[in-house]
Amino acid sequence: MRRLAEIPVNRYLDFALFLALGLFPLFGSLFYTQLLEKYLVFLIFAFSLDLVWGYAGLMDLGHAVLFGLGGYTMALSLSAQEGVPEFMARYGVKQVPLWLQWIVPQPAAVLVCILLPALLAGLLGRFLFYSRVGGVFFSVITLALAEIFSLFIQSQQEYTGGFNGIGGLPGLSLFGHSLSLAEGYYFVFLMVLLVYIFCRALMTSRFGLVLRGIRENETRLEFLGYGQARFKTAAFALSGALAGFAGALYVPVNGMIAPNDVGMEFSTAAVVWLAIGGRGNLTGAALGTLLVNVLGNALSEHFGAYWQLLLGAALLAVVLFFPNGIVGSLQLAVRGRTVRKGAARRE
Amino acid sequence: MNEILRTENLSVCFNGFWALRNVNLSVQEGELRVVIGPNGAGKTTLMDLITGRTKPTTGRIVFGGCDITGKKPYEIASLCGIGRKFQGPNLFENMTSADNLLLAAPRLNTVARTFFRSTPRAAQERAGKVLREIGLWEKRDKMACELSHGERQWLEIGMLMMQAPRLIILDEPTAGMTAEETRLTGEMIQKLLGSHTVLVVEHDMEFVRQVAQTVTVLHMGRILAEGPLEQIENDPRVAQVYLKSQGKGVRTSA
Repeated sequence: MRRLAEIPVNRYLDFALFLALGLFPLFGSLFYTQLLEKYLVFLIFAFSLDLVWGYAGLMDLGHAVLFGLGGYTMALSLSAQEGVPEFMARYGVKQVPLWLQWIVPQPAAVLVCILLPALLAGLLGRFLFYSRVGGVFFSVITLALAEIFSLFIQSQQEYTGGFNGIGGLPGLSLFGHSLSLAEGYYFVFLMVLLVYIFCRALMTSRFGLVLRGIRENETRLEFLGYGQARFKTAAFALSGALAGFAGALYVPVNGMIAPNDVGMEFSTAAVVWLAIGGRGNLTGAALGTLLVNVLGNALSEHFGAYWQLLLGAALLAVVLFFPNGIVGSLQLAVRGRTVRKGAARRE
Repeated sequence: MNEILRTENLSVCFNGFWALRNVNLSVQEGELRVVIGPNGAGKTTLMDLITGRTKPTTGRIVFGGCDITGKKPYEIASLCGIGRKFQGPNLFENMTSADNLLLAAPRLNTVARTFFRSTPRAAQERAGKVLREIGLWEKRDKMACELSHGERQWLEIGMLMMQAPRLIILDEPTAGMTAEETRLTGEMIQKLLGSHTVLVVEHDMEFVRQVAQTVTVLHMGRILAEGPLEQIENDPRVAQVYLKSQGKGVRTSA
């Protein structure tokens, strides 16, 4: 049987987006290159959210917790490269704690950044999905979790820098060689590309088909013999690993991490990116993330905090008129056209 | 003939209401069994018990020699091979007809067998064959939600063909269909019959006559009568509780 070729409009968009991102440092200013590098990291985070929300239909309102676990792990590791970090010394910590010593070597840190969030997501999945917690309840629980995590980070001042977070961190380096801005940009770009290919391959595989089935009709899927809890837990853990990886990249790129990067605010920001761009096709996640962040940056220069009002209005408009997001609506429009064309040919 | 499904003294109680009491049902391999009964007789509850959606209060369910009492729905579906079509359409709405069928492919339903793997060619080809059989080949790229009511029912039957279970449970397969659609559905079910055991819950007596071999009548959670169709139609007790209300000609609306 000829497999239904997915409407290619989003593949073209993907290609265009990646081409633009790849060429940007050649033409753009240093300032914007640096900014875009940060948004590239956000792309990985958006892809990871798209796996659970866009494909499996699980609206995680606390996804930044997973991002933050990776981020803080990396921040602690980077800050402890030369003995006790300053913010710890201020609270009378004289020796690098044992657990921190383990993650000082960078390979170990990267591993923990990926495995720790995956483990947390897996555990959450084990408890929530196996006891059939889903839908809005899942969202509420994850939302609460985001708040708890951010409060926890703020309360552990001697280890997390509290409200101020951990700052003054070194930039990206590879095998002891610290990368220039352009090198760093292309390193992050390569990572985004790899994550994108990974997600695309997984979601076009049968696993992605099953996740979409879960989103559409979980009960029916169960009567077809699928253990839905296993699939959801696997997807959530995987998404956690990717989110943690994004967090680990974010820290050297941004130079610091603070509690508002890991709480409700950042979690819901990512939800907005996906809602505007469109869910369940990866392209929407990428487009929404870039659009909202780039526009946000440009508009906040002119309108200051009022830009958030514009974003709110745009979000409302999308939810009311284009519930499938930009890419989803585009796909539907192209689909409608080809369907009509097909009908005309048959006549 | 081999017995494929047996329930022993199956009872289920919802908050003090006995929806089923001491139901002893035996279905042979390759049989088509129709379960009829007035509203609230416990027909759908019986199907829920067999497929693991509801757990029995007492009693046992034995399928193909194994005790499946209290197992989870997905275990019953994948290990035993029991497929079910629900009352009313129950599809993956925003997925294409082809994807709906591909999801129904059997033994490809664990994380390990799906992770970074595509659906095997054999299963894809079978999905194509089923699409032609249910007359939806032209509409394979249409979303399930874009299909007409009858087409959606056929897609569900197609999913059962795809799943190729040892026992197929159909809950009111012709509900809400036109006479023509009902007739076509009957033909499709007869096609299924060759290789499967089928358990049907149905209201439409016209349809029951078209397909039935053995009929079980449920009333107030108990088996009232069981036997060949003519015997059931002439049973005075059945007539009293069920058939009477629809007159001697027995023509039920769906």
